[in-house]
Amino acid sequence: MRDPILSARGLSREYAPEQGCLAVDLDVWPGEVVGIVGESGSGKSTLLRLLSGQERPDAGSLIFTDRAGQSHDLREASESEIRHLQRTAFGIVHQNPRDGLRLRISAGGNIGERLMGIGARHYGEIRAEASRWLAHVEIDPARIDDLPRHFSGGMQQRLQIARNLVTNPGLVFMDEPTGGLDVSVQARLLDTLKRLVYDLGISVVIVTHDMGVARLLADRLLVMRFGRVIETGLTDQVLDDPQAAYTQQLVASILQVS
Amino acid sequence: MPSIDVRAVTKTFILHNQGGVQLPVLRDVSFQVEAGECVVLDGPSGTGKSTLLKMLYGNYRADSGEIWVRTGEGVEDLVAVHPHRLLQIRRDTIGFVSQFLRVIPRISTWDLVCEPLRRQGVDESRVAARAEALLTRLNLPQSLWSLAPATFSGGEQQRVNIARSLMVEYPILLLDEPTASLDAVNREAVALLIEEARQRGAAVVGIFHDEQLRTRLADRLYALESAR
Repeated sequence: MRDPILSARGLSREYAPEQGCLAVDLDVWPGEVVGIVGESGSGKSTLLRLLSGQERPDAGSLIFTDRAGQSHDLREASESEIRHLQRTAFGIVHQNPRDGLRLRISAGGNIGERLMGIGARHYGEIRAEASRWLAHVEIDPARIDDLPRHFSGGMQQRLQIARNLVTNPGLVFMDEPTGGLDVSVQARLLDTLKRLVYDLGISVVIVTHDMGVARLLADRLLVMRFGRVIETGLTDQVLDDPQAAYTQQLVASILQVS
Repeated sequence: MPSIDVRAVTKTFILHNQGGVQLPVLRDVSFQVEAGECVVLDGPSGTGKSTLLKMLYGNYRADSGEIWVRTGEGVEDLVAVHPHRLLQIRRDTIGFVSQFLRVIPRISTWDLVCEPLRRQGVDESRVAARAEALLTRLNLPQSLWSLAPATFSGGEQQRVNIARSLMVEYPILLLDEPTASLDAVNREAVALLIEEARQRGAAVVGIFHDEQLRTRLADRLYALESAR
């Protein structure tokens, strides 16, 4: 068993009593998808922001190990080191694609910008790679020069994913990536995500309130409530044999809807 | 050393949202399965056959007891292993044929079936040869291979499921009513595949309601009694 690439112990960030995220332990291993589920206000998005360095913890430790085997203490790291990691080693996919895309530059530019951020300079190669990635996420490469604001919500989200994956980061954070999309568009996006995760062997931490999304994408789950992790396990363990009263309620309410 | 060694396993479902009702399902269950042996779980409905099978896959969790399985790295207790390790054990050691196919809607039958062997990093030509052989033996016409199974009949979906679960030659094979929605021809095809798995040394644990199939496959019955 290889070592985790991300390891959190006692990670906390409290805004107000029971608001935020409290004493979370979490390991992420290479190539696995970890789902964080819970209602809004349960602290799952705060946890994601802590794990991805978008916010600093009040307490606890957080260690990221990059592909070269170098460990980074994300609690103590400087702002510039964190920005560097976010550019090179992490992908961050926001719920609203508008938060993760640059709407005034072309689709190809959105992907190419990330490549240039890690040192790519050859225009032809950048464009070819951008075009390849548009195809990967099922956007017609002929639209490479179009602005993302002319894309549908589903296409914008796929573009955001391409922009995040093009640099081949080891670890990708996603906050409700299917949140604002129609059900049929969601299914297609989930397929694309599943395939990319599998082909690239990346690790993913995904926040969702949708148990169907969790079931399809995640290998393991953490259930959060009032800022704490109340249950963990393999996705099928948590959904088929939930232990905590709250998890049982969550699973039961989902089944009634679907 | 058995392939599966279940020691004093106990399981009670607690329904927190129905007044905390406790449903004891398994009490002090112990049994072993050797390599090359097929054990059929027996007993009236409600005695926990399906629950026990799911626990052997680490899907349902045990309240107490141990479930030791022989893996490539020795013997490991499914009750105690880290979930991350359990995933690896499933990938390499334990196959589970459930009654239902649960998959992402748009993925083709071919890719679904190939996936478990691809995940082990096996060469694509060997993966393709194995998938073709299994799909053919399970009488799934080639015209269906490129389609997603969502629109298939129950029997067809079940056979896709079986093909997928038998792609890897797992040392341990768990079968939950694998022939429930199949006709006689396909029941026979599945019975042959299970016999072959046993002959190559797999430890097989199954639930079969079909009396004929049970008599034919079982080396031994393990009788479960009501825990209530």
